[in-house]
This record gives sequence, structure tokens and C-alpha cells, in this order.
Amino acid sequence: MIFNIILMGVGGQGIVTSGILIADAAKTSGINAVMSEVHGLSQRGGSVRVDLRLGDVTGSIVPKGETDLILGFEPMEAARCFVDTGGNPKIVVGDQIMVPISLSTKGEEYPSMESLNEDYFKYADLYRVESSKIALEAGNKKVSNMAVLGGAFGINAIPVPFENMIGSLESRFHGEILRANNEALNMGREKVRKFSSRINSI
Amino acid sequence: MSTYGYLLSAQSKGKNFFVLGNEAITRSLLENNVKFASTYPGTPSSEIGEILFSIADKIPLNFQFCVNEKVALEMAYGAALSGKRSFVFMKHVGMNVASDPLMTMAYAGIVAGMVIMTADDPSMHSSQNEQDNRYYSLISHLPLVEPSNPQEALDFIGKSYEISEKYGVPVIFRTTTRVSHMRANVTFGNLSENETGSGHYSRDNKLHVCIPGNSYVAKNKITERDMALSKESDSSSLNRIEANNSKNGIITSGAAFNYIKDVQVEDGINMDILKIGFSNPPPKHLIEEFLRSHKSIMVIEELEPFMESAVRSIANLSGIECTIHGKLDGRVPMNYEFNPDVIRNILKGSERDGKNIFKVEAKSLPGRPPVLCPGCPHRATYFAIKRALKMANIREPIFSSDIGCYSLGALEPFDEADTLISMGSSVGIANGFAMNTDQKVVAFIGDSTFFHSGIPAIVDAYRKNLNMVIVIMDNETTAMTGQEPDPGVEFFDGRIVEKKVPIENVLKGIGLTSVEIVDPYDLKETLIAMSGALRNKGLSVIISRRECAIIRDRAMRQKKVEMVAVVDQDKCEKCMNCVENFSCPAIYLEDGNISIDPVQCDGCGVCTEPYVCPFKAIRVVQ
Repeated sequence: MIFNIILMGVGGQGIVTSGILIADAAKTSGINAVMSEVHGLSQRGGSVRVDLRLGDVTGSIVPKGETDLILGFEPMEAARCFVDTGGNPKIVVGDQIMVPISLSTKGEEYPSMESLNEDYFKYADLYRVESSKIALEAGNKKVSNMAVLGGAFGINAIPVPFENMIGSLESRFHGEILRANNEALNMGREKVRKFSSRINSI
Repeated sequence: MSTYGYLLSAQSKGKNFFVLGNEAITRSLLENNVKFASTYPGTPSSEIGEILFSIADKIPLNFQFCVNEKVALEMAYGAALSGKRSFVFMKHVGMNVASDPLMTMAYAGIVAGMVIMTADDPSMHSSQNEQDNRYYSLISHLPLVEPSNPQEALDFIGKSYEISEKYGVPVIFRTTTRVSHMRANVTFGNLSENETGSGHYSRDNKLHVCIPGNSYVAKNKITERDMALSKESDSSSLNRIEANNSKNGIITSGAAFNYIKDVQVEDGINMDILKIGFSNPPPKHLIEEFLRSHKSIMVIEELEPFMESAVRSIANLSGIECTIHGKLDGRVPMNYEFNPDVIRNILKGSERDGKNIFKVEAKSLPGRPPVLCPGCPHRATYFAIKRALKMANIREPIFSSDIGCYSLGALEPFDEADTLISMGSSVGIANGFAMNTDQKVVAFIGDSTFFHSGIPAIVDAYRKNLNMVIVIMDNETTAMTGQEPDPGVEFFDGRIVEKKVPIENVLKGIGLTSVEIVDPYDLKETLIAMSGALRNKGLSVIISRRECAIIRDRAMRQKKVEMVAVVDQDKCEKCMNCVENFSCPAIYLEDGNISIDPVQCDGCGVCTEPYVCPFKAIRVVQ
């Protein structure tokens, strides 16, 4: 078995942490994992892509056209990843928008959700999670990553039992932080919605 | 999540952890009785320092951040001569700084084992070049070990110490970004004895004194040692053959091996693989045998044709008729890191067939280049200096920049860099500009970079009284690599005490009188200082001092103080000055209005100053 996940977003969104948690859960389920990370200069507010490969793999980079799942923590980055990786992956995308300052400097605005839908997302097998709202409800704006992750479990897109994912959270976090992460994960799992061509406000 | 207890625990033995290559290396130091480690921080090696620093009081290993890589290497060498196993690690370009002492270590030798790690950065994820440091092994006559993944990183460290002690020389341990920053399941070994205690240097030979007569004698011994190391390489478990009964073979090393394995499995390519982990001196007989038993060989390695040159020369010397392909005949790409797609192209000559690669229409999305963080003091400095230059009507200033977070000042809207070459090079290059043009020259250098290698050029600038401004971007830390302490700050966290070396004292010691210290958050003060420095016909230094925003944010969070800036839309005239010229990532444009993202804003308040918002439309609230 080989299952390729790309986690894509902006530095600071908890992308590496999400990958580690999935890999831990995979290990509990007897599945090998290999991951590739980005550190240093490229992290400073830039796009962050983490490749996580589950199963019988050696290398840490997902080959083109073979991505099974994209976890998009930021909508525009999810679209970028989709274009870049090719293939026909499932995409679970959160709604936490991060506007690149280079865009505002030029007097331009972030692409509208309509245009992202029209140009990219309608071609994809795409699912949405209101990750910012969920994070606020969970009482910690940093846990929106867990909502996206939960969304992927909600559509059974990760070949790891959900209880192992919970176990993985419990082994890494404690107290209030565990509670908020757990809540966001569960809410994401329940509230993930398949995208239709009707434009959802995001 | 950032506790490293599992790395310290004896109970971790035999257990499996999902760790970075750099974490595996750190564990291995504790398993292999390493007693001294030193570094100057550099991606992709910096996590090792971050971890060692955070666990320093719990381990029998003395860890030191040093002023630069040369000093770090020298300290580790001193430790190895004192009978303590030592480890020094740095990024690839750090080896250039350390290369002077490095070149003579094979002559002088060591007492206890010593490993020098270089973390190369193919594709330049975080670096100014993608130099291939394996060549340092050739010219320094130090053996070279290359792991492919985190488990090998852990295992090969132990082997490297064995080689180092058996032959009495330091071993170069070379990783790349995709090995150091690859995360995989790694099985830990046994922690070494917890003994500490002082080392001892015994004066039993003079070979550590590399005066010409001693080095003359030592050189022949180096040649003998190289031959012995070649035999060692031949029988080493670091090199291995994966046989598939094919007429065709691959010789590979490092991360390239991983992608070959993946392509082999997924595309059913059955070529024999000679995987080399002890790559210099190369395993001569093993390579000979591999060449003889195959019709054709492909050498696949990242960056330069290092092994390929060795393989071709071995084939030539032994008169072996085997077709050899690689970079030198154009079959393997010369540049950048590899991935499974590159390998598939090399081995199959095409992208993967049988699988339709679906692509949406390539409408180009806006890019997302890295930026200075919200609250970063460098933004305020660059903003004020740009304004001062404009006010002084200085045409065609020359900006000489340097390595650090402030390198990002090269990007729009600041655009304050004309050259950026290597650590500490900004002032020296600025000296060259000042002596050869009539233009105003501004050199930027960070506090850590100042200590690292900036001081000598400032001595020259002072001696020659050059007409230029040196701006020291002092954020009181080595910020880019993870906020490591540097000599400009006193450091004390209950266990480690490090004395402070104030930058202004160094400058005063040199003899400089025109030195101003400003707080970049105070734009007016910074602007006035810069204007004064620009009027001065000689050498001026401005120290723009304010702690790194990441450190400040951390402290604010601990105090549970949350400040954010908000825009009063009634007062905002949409002049765009804050967006276009100050350019903080928290400020954005939406439906024609300027807003500030409370998630990103750190409440520094610089955008409320009239130079940024002349209409007083921005204020900071709790």
C-alpha cells in the first residue's frame, strides 16, 4: 500500500504538526510513514508544502500525478498545490485566508472564492471545512489545522482508523490544548461538506 | 510538542520514533559517547543546535554556540585533542568559513573521535548557493560518509566515530536538506555511559604542530592513510549492493537512493544498485567489481559529478569496458535536488506512462514569497532608511546586504540590496564600492553576522575612512535559524551563563566615533540618525537595535498581553502608504478597504506613526 498526502498552507498554520500526528496514527495502525519538511528562510510567511507518504515507500517526495489527498490549510495554497501536483486527488480545504502582502503592495486583492472555484476547485474532488469558525468555537484560533484534518477523516480519506488519530493527539498534547485540538478535529470531521458548483460563502 | 525527553531517555532503546534526520543525529551523539558539540547555526543543520541547547542541562555533553563555523571547528578539534569525542555541525557554506583549519587537520590528526557535519542544500531552499561539499573531503584528505535517511543518519554517526578513531582523523559527515529534514521512523540504540569529567591532553608527539618540517613528514603519512581508508571503504558496511540479477547497474548515494528505490518499486525497474555511504576514499575494488559485472552503469547523485568522476577514473585505470552514464554525458541533470520524477526521467527517458496526469488550466496564481514577520524591527529600519535617502535626494545609492532575515530587504517594496554574497561580506564589498565610485554606499549587517565575520572589514573601513554608512541590524539574536543567542546579548537561563560583548564597545575599540544607536520602532529617531549619517562625508555606523519580533511575541504571550492594530475606516484616506511602502503582512486590501488581520498583527504599533499613516487612522488596541 502507498498513500500520498500533501499538506499545504502558509508557515505558522501547524502544517508540520498535522503531518506528525497523522504519521503517529499510521504507526499505531502498523503503517510506515516518511515525511519531508521545510525549514529556514522559506518558512517566513511563504508557502509551506509538506509531503507525507504512508506505506511501502522509501523517499519523502510525492511523485507528480500520484497525490491521493491534499490537505489545504489555506485556499489559494490548496489551489496552487492542486495545479502543481496534478493527478486527481481528494482535496480538503479550510477557509483560513492569508493574504500575501506582495499582492496588496501591487494594489491587487486576494482571488475571490468564485474565481478559485471556477478556475481550480470545480475540477477537483473537493471538500470544505469552515476551519476558522471551528477553531473559534473550539476556543483557540491555532487549531484550525485540526479542523481540516478532521474533515479528511470525515470523508474517510486517510487510511488510518480515527481512534488512532485521537490516540496520536492524546500522546502529544495535554490539558486545555488537547481539548481544543480534539474538539476542532471532531467538529471538522462532522462538518466537512462536499463542494458543489453552487458558490458557498467562505 | 517541543520536548525532547524521548531523545534523552534510556528507555527509548529499541523503540521506534518518527523523527527528523537531525533529531536522529542528535540521539546518535548521545548513543556514541560524544562529549563536546559546537556550531554556528545554519539551515538545514540548525535543529541539532536547537535540541542540544534545550536539553543541555540533562546530558553529559558540552554544547556551544560559537561566533562562527571556524571557531566552532577549532573548539571541536581542541576537544578531540583533549581526548573527548567531539562533533561540529554547520550548513554547507559554513564549511567555507571553517575551511582554513579544516585543510590541515589531516596533517595533525586527532586523539579522540571527531565528526564534522556539513548539511548541503541542493535546490537552495535556504541558501545562497548549492555547492557540493563532498569536494572538501578530496582536498582535505578527510574521509567522507553520506547517509540517505534518518535511520542511516543515526547508524552512520557511530560508524563515523569508529573510522575517525581507527585512522586518527576527523570524518566529514555530509547530509542534504532532504536527509536532515526528512522525517521517518527510526529505531533508537543504547545510550552511552553518563560519565563526565575533565579530558586530558598528553604531549606525546609534536605532530599537532604543523610547522613546515612536521607537515612535510605528515604528508606522506596522509597518502598511506588514504590508501588504508580506501581498503576500509571497500569492506565497509556503509557501502552495499542490492542485486536484482540485472546486466545494468546504478551507483548512487544520499537522497537520490531513496527516489531510485521508489521508482524501482512503482515502475518495476530491476537494476542492480551499488549504494555508497562511504564515498571518499571511494570503495575502489567494490566499484571495479560492480563495473566488471555489468554491461552498463548509471551514476546518479545530486549536485556535482563527484562519484561519477571517481567511477570513470577507476574504470579507466583498470581498463574496464563498461558503459558509464551520468552527468558528464548529459544523461543525469547537473543542477538542483532530485525527486522521483527526475529519476523516472533518467531511468525511463519519459514521464510515467499509463497514468494520465490531469492538470487544471494553468492560470497563474499570485505568488507568496517569504516576508519579514509582522512586528519585525528590520521593516521599520528599511522603511526609515528608504525615506531618509529620498529626503536627502541621494541618487543611485549602493546597498550592500548580507545574510540573515534582513536579506528579505532585497524584495519589494524596500529593494535595499544590490549585492548579497556570503556571511559578513556586506562591509568588505561596500569598502570596494566606496573606494571605486562616488556613490553613497550603505552596508547592512546583522548583529550575529557582525560577530561572525563582519568585524575585519569594519577595521579596514575605519582605517581608510571610507565614505559610507554601515547599518547594524541588531535584533539581539541569530533570528533566521531559530533565535539562537549571539555574543551581543547576555545569556542566562539558570544553567548557561554567557557574557555580553556590546557591539558599540567593539566599534569604540576599533576607534569609531560616529556611532548612533537607534530604536527602529521610533521611525523619527531612525530617520534623523540616518539623515545625519548620510550628510557625514566619512564613515558612520548606525546600530538599529530592537529585539526580534518572534522573541517579543513569545514574551507578550507569556504575559498574556494581546495588542493589535486596527484601521479606523472613517479616517483612512486610502493613500496606500502603509500597504505600498511599509508592507506589513498583517495589512491587506479587501473590497478597496485597508484592513489589519488580527491573527497576524503583533501590535508593534509602528504603522500608527505619522510616517506610515499620516491620517492617524491606525491605532493599537488591547
